[in-house]
Order: sequence, then C-alpha cells, then structure tokens
Amino acid sequence: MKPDSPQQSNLASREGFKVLGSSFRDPSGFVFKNRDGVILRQINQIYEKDFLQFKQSGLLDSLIKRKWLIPHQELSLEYRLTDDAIAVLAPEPIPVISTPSEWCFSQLKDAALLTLEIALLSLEHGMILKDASAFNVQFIGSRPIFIDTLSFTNYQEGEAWVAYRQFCRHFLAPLALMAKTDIRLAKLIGNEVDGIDLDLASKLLPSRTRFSLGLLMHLHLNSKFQTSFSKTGKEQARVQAVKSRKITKAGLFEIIRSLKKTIFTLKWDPVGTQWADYYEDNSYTGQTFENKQQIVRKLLGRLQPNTVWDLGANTGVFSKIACESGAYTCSMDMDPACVERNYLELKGGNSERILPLVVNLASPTPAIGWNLSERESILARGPCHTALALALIHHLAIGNNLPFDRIARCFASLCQHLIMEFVPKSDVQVQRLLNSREDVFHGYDLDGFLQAFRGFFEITASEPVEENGRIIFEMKSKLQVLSQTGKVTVGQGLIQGAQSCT
Amino acid sequence: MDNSMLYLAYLDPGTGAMVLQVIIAGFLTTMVAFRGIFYKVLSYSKKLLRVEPVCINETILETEKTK
Repeated sequence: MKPDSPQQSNLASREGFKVLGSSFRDPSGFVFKNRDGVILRQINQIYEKDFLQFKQSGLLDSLIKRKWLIPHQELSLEYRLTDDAIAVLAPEPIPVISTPSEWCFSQLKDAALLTLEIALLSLEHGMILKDASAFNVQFIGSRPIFIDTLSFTNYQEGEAWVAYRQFCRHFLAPLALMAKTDIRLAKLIGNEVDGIDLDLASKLLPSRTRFSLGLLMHLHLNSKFQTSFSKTGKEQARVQAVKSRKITKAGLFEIIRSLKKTIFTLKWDPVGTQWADYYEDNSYTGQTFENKQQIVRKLLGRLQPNTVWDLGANTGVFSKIACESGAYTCSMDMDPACVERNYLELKGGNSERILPLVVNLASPTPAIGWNLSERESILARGPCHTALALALIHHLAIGNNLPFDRIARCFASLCQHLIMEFVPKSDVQVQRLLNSREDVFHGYDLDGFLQAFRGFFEITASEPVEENGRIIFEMKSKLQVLSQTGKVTVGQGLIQGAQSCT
Repeated sequence: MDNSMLYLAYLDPGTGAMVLQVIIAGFLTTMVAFRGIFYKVLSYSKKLLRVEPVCINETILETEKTK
C-alpha cells in the first residue's frame, strides 16, 4: 500500500514533528503535532475527491454550524508533513482529551446519538460515515463533538453501512450492558480500542433484552450473524447472493433511525452507589462546608489556573468553584453515579468549561492500543496547572494502602500546583474506613504527611478548615519546577515515580 | 485499486453485519410501509366519522355528525 511509505520516509526530515500514536489506520490522512506543539491534520491525495464533496455538498458547513464537528482552519501546503498532502487543517484544540472508558453512561449515550445524527445528516448530503469509532467523539465541557474530519465518504445508492458493526461494538454493546446488566461493565471498554465483542455482550445481557426489537436486531442477531458467517465456507455463494442485494437509501435511513431509537430508550438511573449521596451524608456542618468553599475559592483566586483537575470531585461542587476562577476543569471521580449526576447537571446548564470523567486515581486509565501508544494514559495527558485533592488523602492512604510518599510523587508529576486537604485520623470519615479493619496506619498523621509531601512539593500556604481538624494545603510541585528549568522532564518524573512504586 | 476499495479495506465491515443490514433494511422498510398504510386507513376511517361543519351564508353556525 502506497500511502504509508512517504509518511515514513519524510518523518525523519521533519525533526520535531510527531504523528499522533492514534493516527495511522486510515490512509486518508493523519494528525500530527508540529514543532510548536500545535495539532494539525494532513489530508492525503487519496481522500481528495471525498474532501471536495464534503465541502461542496454543504455537509461540512452544516456540521460546523450545528456545532457537531470540530471547526478547522485550512492552512497552506507548506505546513504539510509529507508530499502526498492535498490540504493541511488546523482544528480547534480540544482542552482535554478523554477516552470512552472515562465517560459516564449519558456521555457515551450522547456521543452515540451525535454519531447517528451525523450519519443521518451525511446521508441527506449524499455522503456516509465510513467509521463510527467512539474515539471520534470528544467532549468540550459537557458538549460532545465529532473530531474526525476524514470520516466522510461518498455514498453510493445500494451500499450497506460499512461502520454498522463498529458502531454496535463501540456504542450499543457497552450502553446496553451498562443499562440492562450492570453499570460497572463499562470497564469492559477500558482496555479495548475496538469496543466490546458482540457475542460477549449478547451472553452477558439478560434474556429479556431479546424482547426489545432494537437490541434483538442490532445486538443479539448481529452477534449470531457475525459468529455464523465467520465460519461458513460452503455457504459463500449464498452469502454473496444476499450481500449483492442492494439496500435502498430509505432502508439505510431506517437502520440508522432504528439504532437511534434503540440507544435513546436505554436508560440508567444514577442511584444506589456508595458516593452518590456523599454531600448529604458527611462530616461537615453547613458552616464548615461553606468555610471550605471559601478557602478553595481564595487559593484558586491566587493561583489563577488555566486548567484544574478536580480529583475525587464527587458531584462537582468544587469543580464549579474552579471553573468560576476561569479554569477549564476536569471533574474526576471513580463513582459512575456521581459523574452521571454531575454531567446531567452541567448538560442542563450547557457548560462548556467543566468536563466530568470517571477516573479511579488508585487505578488510573492506562495507555492502550498498538504499542501502548494509540491512546494515552490519563497521567500522560497531564500535567495540569492545578490539581484539587479535597478529602481524598484518606481514601488513597487508608482505603488503598498507598504510602504518603508514593501519593506525593504521583501528584507532583501530574500538576504544577496542588490544593490538598489533610483529613486527620480522628475525623469521622477516617474512622468509618477503619471501622472494619485493624489500624495498621501508624504513620498516618500530619507529621508523616508533611514529611512525605515536602519531598516533592514546596508548601506555599495552609488554611485550617474550622471545627473538624482538617487542613487545606497549597503546594507547588518540585518536579514540575525542575521540568520547567529543563533539568527533569515531566515524563522522567513519571517514569521515576513508576519505578519507585514497583 | 481505486479509492473506494481502499476505504473499504480500512475498516472490515464484517460479512455477518453486511448480510444482517440487508435483512434489517428490508424488514424495517416493510414495517414502515405497513405503518404508512395503517395510518392512511386510520385517517380515512377518522374522516368517515369526522364532525363536519355545516355552512350557511358562508358562516359556520353549527356542526352535525355524519354517519
């Protein structure tokens, strides 16, 4: 295949340019970072005809006008990376890249519905989506947006939807499992770049889902067909005969509408998890909680961060305070119900500055895909300017048996500034954690905490939260300071951190 | 190899999924056609039972049911 070779040969001559690890499957083009770290997309000659149709049909303008596709600026060809370029685009940057395994139920559902709406609009313009990967959607705050400008190809009357199976693997299977079996099955997509096997999803779904026409057709039958046709050599003639039958455009519209209806009817109620009602059942009095908010507001006002990662954000009370300080905020929590509530509330307010994500800091999203470079781990997507870790330390240190120095090293790698709340052992929340186990955490005290964190941070401020003995610290990462002076890179800091943890 | 073949080679659509689409498309379009016929019949029967206005001197004064 020709398209790969010129890329490879020219890469060496373009020092400082880097093709993104996820951008190599589609010969139509690729995404790369230039020397200044700006993300650019090259379109190859092979995609020229489709790209022209994409523009001339009015589909591109319609998508951008609806805010469904990431807008871009077309640059001159001098920005190209290889010779077979016909255009170079500078898409608007996405503040924080997230992966489908980090989305809550409604985020994945909205991403699915957006993909289907785009598929329908494309058909109206005589084009069709040639892939339907969940990785083609990103979130700007609570708004999903399609980012793959090269996913559109000419539709020829009679052809089936090439991306149908991919859509079912990436969206329908995980959503059905989350809604009908258990929300925790979302973890199945965590290690996969190509969704969930349909036969596995079909086995895991309850039998009653066979009475849902949408799930029966698009999931259970799809799985059966996939299994039976993959091993039929003798029935090739019959298969070819069926495949050669044309699907009318109206038929294709109906398939996509049916998928849309099936996805739309899938629902999950975010109740019953451990953390969803945390703020109604914690150790704070109203005044103390108000005081804590004031402290965080004051510290953020002083730091003026551009990005904040709120770790253990629950339903995002402090993420909103971070957002008020002007920062684009990632509101991360391990509990899917908390993130779901946070997302639904933000979606109602059309917030584009807070991105809720399901992230478990004790077991963060790993790098996945080919050579572990297709999709970056959550830590590699940092560092952020400021991290908030409020009422989190006891969950990491006691709930997950993590020593203070390892926690400090990890935080020092992922942020420049840290606002962290220390929760003393006497606190009712810590006592709850210790209720059912022996207290082996003799080093869990303020002195031990300060000693460990001073190794990786410069403590710049501390504010006691009234009544309950908790203290909020503002710290500056020493690893990040070194990385700015060029002595240690952030990556090295992470590698050292990882090595020390093994 | 023309461009369209290259695009198809990029993503394996799966034989089963392609065959299934033919079947689903046929089924759904038939259903839609039947639904269309059903609604037409329904609207026709409603029309038969409809309350029709009676106009005298271009002014609607009263209505009466038609059988």
